[in-house]
Amino acid sequence: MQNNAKRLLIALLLISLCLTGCAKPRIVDDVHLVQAIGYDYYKENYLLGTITSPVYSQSAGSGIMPPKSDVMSVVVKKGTEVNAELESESEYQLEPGKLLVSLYSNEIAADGLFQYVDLLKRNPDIGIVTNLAITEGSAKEILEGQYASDPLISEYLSNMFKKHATNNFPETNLHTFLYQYAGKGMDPFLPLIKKENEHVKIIGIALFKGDKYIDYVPYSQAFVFNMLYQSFSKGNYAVPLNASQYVSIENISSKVDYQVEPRGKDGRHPIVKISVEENGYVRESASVLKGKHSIPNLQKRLAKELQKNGITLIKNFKNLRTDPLQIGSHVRSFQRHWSEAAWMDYYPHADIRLKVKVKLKHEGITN
Amino acid sequence: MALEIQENRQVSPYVLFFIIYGIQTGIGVINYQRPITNSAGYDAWLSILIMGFIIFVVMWMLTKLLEEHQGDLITIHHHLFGKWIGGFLSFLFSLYFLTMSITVLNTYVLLVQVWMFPQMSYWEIATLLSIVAYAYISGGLRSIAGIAFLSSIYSIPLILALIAPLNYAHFDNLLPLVNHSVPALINAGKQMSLNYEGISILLLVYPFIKKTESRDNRKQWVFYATSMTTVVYLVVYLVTIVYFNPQELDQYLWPTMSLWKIVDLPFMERFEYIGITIWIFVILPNICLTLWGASRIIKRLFSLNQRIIVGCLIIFIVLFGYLLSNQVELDIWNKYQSLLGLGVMLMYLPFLYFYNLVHRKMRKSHAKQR
Repeated sequence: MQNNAKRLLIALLLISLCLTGCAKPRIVDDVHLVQAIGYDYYKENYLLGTITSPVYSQSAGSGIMPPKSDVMSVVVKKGTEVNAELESESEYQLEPGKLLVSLYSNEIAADGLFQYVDLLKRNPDIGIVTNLAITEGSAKEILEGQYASDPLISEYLSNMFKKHATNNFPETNLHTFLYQYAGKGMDPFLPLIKKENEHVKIIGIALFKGDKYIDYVPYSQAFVFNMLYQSFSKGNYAVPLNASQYVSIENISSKVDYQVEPRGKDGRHPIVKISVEENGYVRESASVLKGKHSIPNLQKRLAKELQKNGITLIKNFKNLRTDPLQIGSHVRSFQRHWSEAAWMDYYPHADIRLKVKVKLKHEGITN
Repeated sequence: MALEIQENRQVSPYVLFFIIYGIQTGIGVINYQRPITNSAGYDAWLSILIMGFIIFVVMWMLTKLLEEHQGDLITIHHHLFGKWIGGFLSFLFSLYFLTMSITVLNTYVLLVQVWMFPQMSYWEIATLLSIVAYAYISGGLRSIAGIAFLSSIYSIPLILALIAPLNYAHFDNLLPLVNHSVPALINAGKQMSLNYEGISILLLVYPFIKKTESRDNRKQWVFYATSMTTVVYLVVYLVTIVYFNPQELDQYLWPTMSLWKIVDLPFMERFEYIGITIWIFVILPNICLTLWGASRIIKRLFSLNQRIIVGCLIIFIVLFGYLLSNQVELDIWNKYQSLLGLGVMLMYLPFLYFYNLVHRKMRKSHAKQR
């Protein structure tokens, strides 16, 4: 009896091996990996979707040829999925599992991004660290372009975003966008890119109100934005000394701290105090760092400059009624029974104070 | 009349830790964050502690009951309610265990279908799982204890993987502390019931645990396991809420799976697929123990061959589960399942304990009168 049961069990297990054929296999050579996708408007009610996927080929001899980017685009009515339509052009099944970047033209983003992002969010195949970006001009143009640094535009953009996330720029990806979009007291932001000859350039931080693109912070102010947004370690910033000279500072660490007086002076409105501590060293300078330009003076100068720019930035955000720095969320964490509506009423004239301290450790190997 | 189990069928006391831990952490861990957050916002971690404490007390009651009656659930029911009513109550418990295994099996099948193999049918996945489950159950409690042990070992990487989301942590999500009322916290605690469901298996397993001659240390492992479960739930919950904000969390059906999406290893792009695969070892002890429990009760009541009962029960749950093989129906089923679990754990089991106290008094006074 015991033996029979065992035999039966083994037989059942063996039969179950046949079940492995039940799921559709997806062999990497027989699928087209969609690595980048771009959306543009086309005439009025149409959408121009563009995808690129790498084509790896081998020459007859021994050498491996560099991969080529295969670009396909299709015009669909608004509200339909692009991938399904593109199948008609594609040699192999399209698989979005390795999607690296997803681009949206500024016109599309101005009308609201959520319906496009929802496609990425719902599909379990798509990774959460996929990069999103807004393009100034056509997304298709960027995807079609030929670039000197990397034959694959998807890799190029993805590496560029990855590098920026550790240098000067706040990290953005699908997760941060979804977090900032859904959260109360915060608004999303994404990199804004543009094609320039043989390169793609990040020209700033695109600001959103809800899921609608409204304005951007220019690249030169990205450091200031990042300094207010989070604590980070690497970055650089140039301070003008006079009309023709400047000094460039390399950042070692930047710490930001939000303190909120939940009821303020009048007992109702919170006061937000932001303090930033910068640690850095001098990287480049066109003048000798002495006298007026000695390190202590430079520190003061830099602190003043950063503070001024930071306040201007915050003022702009207030006027735009957008909150990419998540100030509302910081207030929420200090205030009991915080309400988003009340905060948004108060936000445009909120009392937000900024204090920047700068410490320069050294001036390099010459003075 | 104490229930004696042959020594070669018994397991060591520390195995009880893995059995209790194994049956508590199951299908609940992947989506308990959402309902409790909806009730108590991000203060729900307090509810987890409250619920953990309550379960601790219930576990203590169960061990007291078991020690007094020197047997298992059937003995207790028999002593307290007599042969017929007691037997009937035990039979109901058997059905309760069956509903649990249906819940676990179906939730896992749906998980596989949504995340990995949309084309695979319910039958294929459920049949495969049930064959594996049968293989373990037919080996008796000892082999089930083995898979429970392995399950705890295999799930370690899953817990370690929760370090990755901390890169995106917003710790101020936790603030301000205790922004919710006590009823809201308790309500959230109630939503945790699906997570702790299965503790009643203790009532059946206990006699199988070896008692050392010198002192009885079976109890302590029960408490270690309960604490461990609570700690795991607490940690997973804290990681979830610093990674997602409440509005976002509400959109995800399986927050724990979505947490793993952020894990980005150089040799592996998507960790969540590994997560789902390893998850099979987390749910296997659940299916095995609940089915074993259901069949054990029937065996004790009707003196039938347990292997045959298990076979029949497995075929039954696979067939029955087909009725629940889509998301909408399963959600409704899970809702009732957690209500049922709540009733059993927080009402019936404590009732049993207090009834036993009264019963003992009555017996004593009865004896005195004679």
